[in-house]
Amino acid sequence: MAEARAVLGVDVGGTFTDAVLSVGGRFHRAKVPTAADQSQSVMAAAEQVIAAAGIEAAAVTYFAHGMTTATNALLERKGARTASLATSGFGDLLEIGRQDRPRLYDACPRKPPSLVPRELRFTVRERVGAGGVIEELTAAEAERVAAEVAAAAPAAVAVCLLFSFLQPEHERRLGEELRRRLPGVHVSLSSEVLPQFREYERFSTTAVDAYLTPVVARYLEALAEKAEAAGLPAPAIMQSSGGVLPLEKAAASAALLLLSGPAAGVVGAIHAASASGAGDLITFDMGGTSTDVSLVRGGEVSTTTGVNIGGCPVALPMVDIHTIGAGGGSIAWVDAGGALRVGPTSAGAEPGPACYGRGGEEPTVTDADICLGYLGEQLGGDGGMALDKVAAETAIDRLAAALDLSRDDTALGIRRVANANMVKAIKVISVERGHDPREFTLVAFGGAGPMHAAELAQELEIRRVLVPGSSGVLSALGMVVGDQRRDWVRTVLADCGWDEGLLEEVCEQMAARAHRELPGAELRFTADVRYQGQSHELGVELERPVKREQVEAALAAAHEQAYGFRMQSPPELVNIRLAAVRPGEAPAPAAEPAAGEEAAERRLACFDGEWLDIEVRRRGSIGADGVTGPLGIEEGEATTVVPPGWKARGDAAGNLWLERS
Amino acid sequence: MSASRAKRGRGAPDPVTIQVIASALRSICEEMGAALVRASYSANIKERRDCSTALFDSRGRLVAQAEHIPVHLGAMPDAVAAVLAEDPAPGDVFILNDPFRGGTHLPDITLVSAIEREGEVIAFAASRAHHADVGGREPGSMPADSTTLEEEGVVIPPTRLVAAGELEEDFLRDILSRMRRPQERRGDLEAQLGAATIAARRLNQLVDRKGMEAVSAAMAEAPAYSERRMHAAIASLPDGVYRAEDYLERDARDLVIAVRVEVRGEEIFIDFEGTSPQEEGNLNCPMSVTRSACYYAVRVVTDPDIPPNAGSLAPVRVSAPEGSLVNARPPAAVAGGNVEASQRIADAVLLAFAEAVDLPAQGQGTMNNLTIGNDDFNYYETIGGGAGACPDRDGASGIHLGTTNTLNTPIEALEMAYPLRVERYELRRGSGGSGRHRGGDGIVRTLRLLAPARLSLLADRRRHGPRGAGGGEAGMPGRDFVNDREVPPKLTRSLEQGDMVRIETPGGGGYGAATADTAPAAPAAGKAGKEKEAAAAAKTAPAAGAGGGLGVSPLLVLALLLALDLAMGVLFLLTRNSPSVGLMRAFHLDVEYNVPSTYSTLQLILAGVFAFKCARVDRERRLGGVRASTVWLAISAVLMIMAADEFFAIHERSDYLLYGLYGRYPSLAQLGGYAWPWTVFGFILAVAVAVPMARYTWRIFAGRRRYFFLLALAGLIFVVAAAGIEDFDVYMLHFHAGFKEDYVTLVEEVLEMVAVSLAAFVFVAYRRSRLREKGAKEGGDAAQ
Repeated sequence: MAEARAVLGVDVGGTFTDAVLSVGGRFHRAKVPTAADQSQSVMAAAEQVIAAAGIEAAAVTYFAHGMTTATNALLERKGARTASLATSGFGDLLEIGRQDRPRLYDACPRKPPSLVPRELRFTVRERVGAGGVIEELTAAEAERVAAEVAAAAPAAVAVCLLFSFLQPEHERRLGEELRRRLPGVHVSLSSEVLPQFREYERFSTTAVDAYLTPVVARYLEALAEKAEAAGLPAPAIMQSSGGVLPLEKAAASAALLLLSGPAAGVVGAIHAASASGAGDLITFDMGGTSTDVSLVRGGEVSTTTGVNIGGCPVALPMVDIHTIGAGGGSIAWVDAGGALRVGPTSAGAEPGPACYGRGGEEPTVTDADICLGYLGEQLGGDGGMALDKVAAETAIDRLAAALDLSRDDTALGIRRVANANMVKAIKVISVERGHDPREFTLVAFGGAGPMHAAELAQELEIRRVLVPGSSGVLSALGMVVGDQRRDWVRTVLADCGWDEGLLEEVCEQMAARAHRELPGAELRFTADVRYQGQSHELGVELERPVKREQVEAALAAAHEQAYGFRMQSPPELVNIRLAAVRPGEAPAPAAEPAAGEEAAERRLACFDGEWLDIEVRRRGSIGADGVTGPLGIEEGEATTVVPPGWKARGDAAGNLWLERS
Repeated sequence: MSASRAKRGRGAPDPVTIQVIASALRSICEEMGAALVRASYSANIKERRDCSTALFDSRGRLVAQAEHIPVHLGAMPDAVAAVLAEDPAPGDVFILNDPFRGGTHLPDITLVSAIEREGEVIAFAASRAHHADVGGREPGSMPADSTTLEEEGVVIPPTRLVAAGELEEDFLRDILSRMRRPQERRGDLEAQLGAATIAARRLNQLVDRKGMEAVSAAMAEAPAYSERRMHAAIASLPDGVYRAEDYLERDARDLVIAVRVEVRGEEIFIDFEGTSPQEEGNLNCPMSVTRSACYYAVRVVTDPDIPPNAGSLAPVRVSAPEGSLVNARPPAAVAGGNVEASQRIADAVLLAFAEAVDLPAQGQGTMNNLTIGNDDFNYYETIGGGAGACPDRDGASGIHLGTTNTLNTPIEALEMAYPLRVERYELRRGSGGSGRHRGGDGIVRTLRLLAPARLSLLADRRRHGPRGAGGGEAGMPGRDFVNDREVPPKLTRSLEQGDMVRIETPGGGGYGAATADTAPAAPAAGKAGKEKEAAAAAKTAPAAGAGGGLGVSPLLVLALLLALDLAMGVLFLLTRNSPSVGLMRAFHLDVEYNVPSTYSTLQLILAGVFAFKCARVDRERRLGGVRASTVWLAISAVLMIMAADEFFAIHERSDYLLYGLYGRYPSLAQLGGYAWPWTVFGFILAVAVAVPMARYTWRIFAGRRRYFFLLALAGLIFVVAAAGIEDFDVYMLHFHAGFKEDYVTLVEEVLEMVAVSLAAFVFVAYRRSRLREKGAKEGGDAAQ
């Protein structure tokens, strides 16, 4: 039966498009450069991996896809011409935002440009308050405003009225009126996109949805056509929450797809780690220009609803990924205070680090790695890209002169400053959220991740590092193994209070909807709770039937963990959230066949200022018995560094473990 | 880095280790701040993040800080210094809010904890947060009309809140009992104590890992590093002395903030000599607030990325006369100093820096503090406004600026929590000043009360709109209404259920002279009360566009007048020996009621008019107690008197009066060698007028010193010509037969005319430069 299934995942990244095809438990991989038209690269990668597996396209039973179209359109402000419709008196909410400026000391404070220009902001006479309707929306007023909006000929409309999370009726009626008058124009209603209190965040999320959906829908339609022509099934799309959505749902609500790619990476990491029995993870994806970190508890992604992309808050559940602008290509420099700094400027792929020999002259983290002997003269060993060690040394020497340090000290310094930046990023998602990193396994992937992981672990006192077997295409793997997932939220603060019957009724309604839209899914309820008078909620498990004592106890524990103390005040239940999850289509991967023993290479590498003669081995030669560091392990384009005092071993799931001995 | 290397002893940690630890210290502050914001109760902490956290070394030097709003930056070290004076023991936590002993204003409560390790204090952690209420006369503890500190709330001098690990429960209960909603206050204080716990735990973990020696070294190096970077940043600013003045509005009066900024090498000296004395009301600042506002401005013009600590502040020296508005003595009321005066101080310092570096026009410069409350609730909000336009783009609209950066309260959160309804929250379109780049728009926020309550409003920039830059127009001043009736911006009163409060915040200044396509579009269709402003904006815009809005060109004036001066001289030379006595008289320089004398009269009148127009431009400027316009009027008056004298030959006629006094035509010897009797009196008169005026004239030309020297040169030429040469002339006539008088007369009279021309030029040039600064508004009037 397993032989009948062929599951395809394609992830579009900034530089490469990766494809993974699972046929009967065996994985095949392909990598092609990303072209301007993303749907072309998707098809190219798909064809390549299908050819590699030696099957027919028609044999593919499931096709999942992660993309950057939505994020790029938002960052570059290349979305649809969007109009907004708000309660009279509140037309500029999107531009005002929360009144704060992003940088405290800017001489010229700037706000990110609003998605809806002033001339496309419309208001409607109606008002709902915390206690219900204050001013009815008349039919005449709805018609008037719909005509006004239609006259401006927008490509999308975002509707957000005050308190529509309590009373969505006005928004619905306006939605109907607008859709009637503007056929083919996408209308996003805040009560559908995010029925949750705090008007600005809801409005912003709705506007992002309206702004991106026409663009994303166009892309997905083109892709679906190409897939159909090639005989592939219609693609399912990875959403920011780490679950997969069917094509039609994705094409109707683009705000769900902003972190499509990075979320898949975390899902892939969870999948790989769970095969080795690890569930509490800190994922560490270090690439050329940026590094993504995320925290995973019990094999579940942590999601957040407080994400800001391109200056727009998007309050939908997304995998809690913290990104910093530092990677292997980050440039090292000396600032006016004489301190060694790394990044945020990056050499990128062109010209790249000095050692790429493409004209880059600035010293980068990768140049430091090669000077210290962590990287050989060929990226990933024989057959990889040739690296110019002399160019790297020249670049580091120039910096060493400015710092009045030796070459070794300079290179070690660059690594340590870069690592300190990474440590800080990991602390943001762990320590600052009340989690002790020592209880987690560090999962390292991305081009530079495995080379830095052990040192980070040392700094954070993490005892175990896991380097997944398919670390190069982990995101594509995530697509293949990703669960089907849908999320819903309801703000219950104003109209339910602690009435357990009412709350239970809300849960029942939400569950019914989930069963309708994703039959057979497993339902998980959580509650956003706080103490009366506080403004920030904590998410806790919500058990059914709803019992106040259970929620209170969960809040007390969560508060203690996050902020170091408990409160005496009464708790408040603000939102109920539901995540419906149906397990993914792919079977667990089989272990990679071991490549057997081969002759080890030797190299000089510098640890803590001491040059040691280390062994450099192929990944496949590391068995379950383990090898003691110092050691280098090469596979594909990634090199894993095992410092002295650490031990590396391979396991049955094809993953590599680094442990402190 | 070489400096630190030189200091590094054997076995001491290397620079990279120090940097890694310094980064960890900043992380600790950030973690404290995150925990405080998320666990607190006061809207001002949890929604608006009006709080800061910091770490200090064992001697009280600021090592690292997590700031959420700038006004706390320079004020935290004072709190720790005040606690150090109380001899803190390991594990003690102090509480304080006394503005004159380490605090800022009373709602800002600061906790300073002495972090213990093995029985010793290894560092101090501090957290400062704006509490919703600290007692006092008005709910929210931000009365607009307080005159003493006691009225504003409970004053807490540095006191032990936790002694040897034990909470001083009686003391805490006592201070809480004097505040409204003590349960909430306790929650906020517990959140601050939680932050202190986190700091102690994390710092000890860091020492466990890195060792005390390395951590101490990092605590010493972090400030040294910031200081090096600050030195480098200041060195890149042009050296010089820059001055500016700005105003706070107290009823119908203006309170002056006068600042002198000196950039000298790698240091900056900021002084407030000339600032108004401390006032009866509550716009007074303790020195700590003044310092914070200055540091804010300095960071804006230097490098905002320099980690803030003792080192980054060291190269900036701030001084202010004691007892002045910006260095108030107890028991002055200070509620408004922290929120409003701090903004104006930053504005004034930036205005001075604007002479040295290219900076945007002024932003709203107020926080529009709105407090509504009764015994059941306290609602406090600050409202954003327009940002000044930048040299390269329009200003942002509806944004917080300067020394604050707090978030708004979401309408849906507000209405669920308080008996209030928001009826309008929109941009005040068209309120930004026009210019090549437009100033940002302010905000209109309307609230209706669903229960009776007290209102405290504390806002500024209601008369003087934020100034434009480079010829851009000023932004509209803000306005405040209760039930559609305009009310004063500093107000405490009762409101009934159903009453409506509307705040319209100022727009930002424009940048650069407006051209036809950047003039404001017709503002949005007339909301009541907006037409007048809209009309005013529309009226000035085209005029500003047409003539550049800056009046006549000063160089043109100078060229024209000098040409005429020379023409008078040439005509005199050509006609002095003319056979026609009429022609000779008509152009003779030594004869009254002829062409040159009429010309001189007109020239003096013209200069007088120009000086008068300067008075109009400088209407709102103050020079430490005297209005700049008064000085200009005096100058104008002197010129008018001189014109009358020239035309009616008054001083010449006075000679006859004096002759009468002497009884006969006196000899030169009798006159003490002076040719004319009036000379002596004229000199005395000139000195009597010039000396006191020189002082104010010097101040008027602050930042435009070349004009002062040009004017002084003109005066000197005039005096030398009128008194010296004329005297010499007469003397020679008396004692040297055959002396060719004509040439001396020529030099003397032409020099007089040139001097007046020069003065006229200075006035025109000064006015133009002021108009550039103020925006094109008055320029429009002049062009009409």
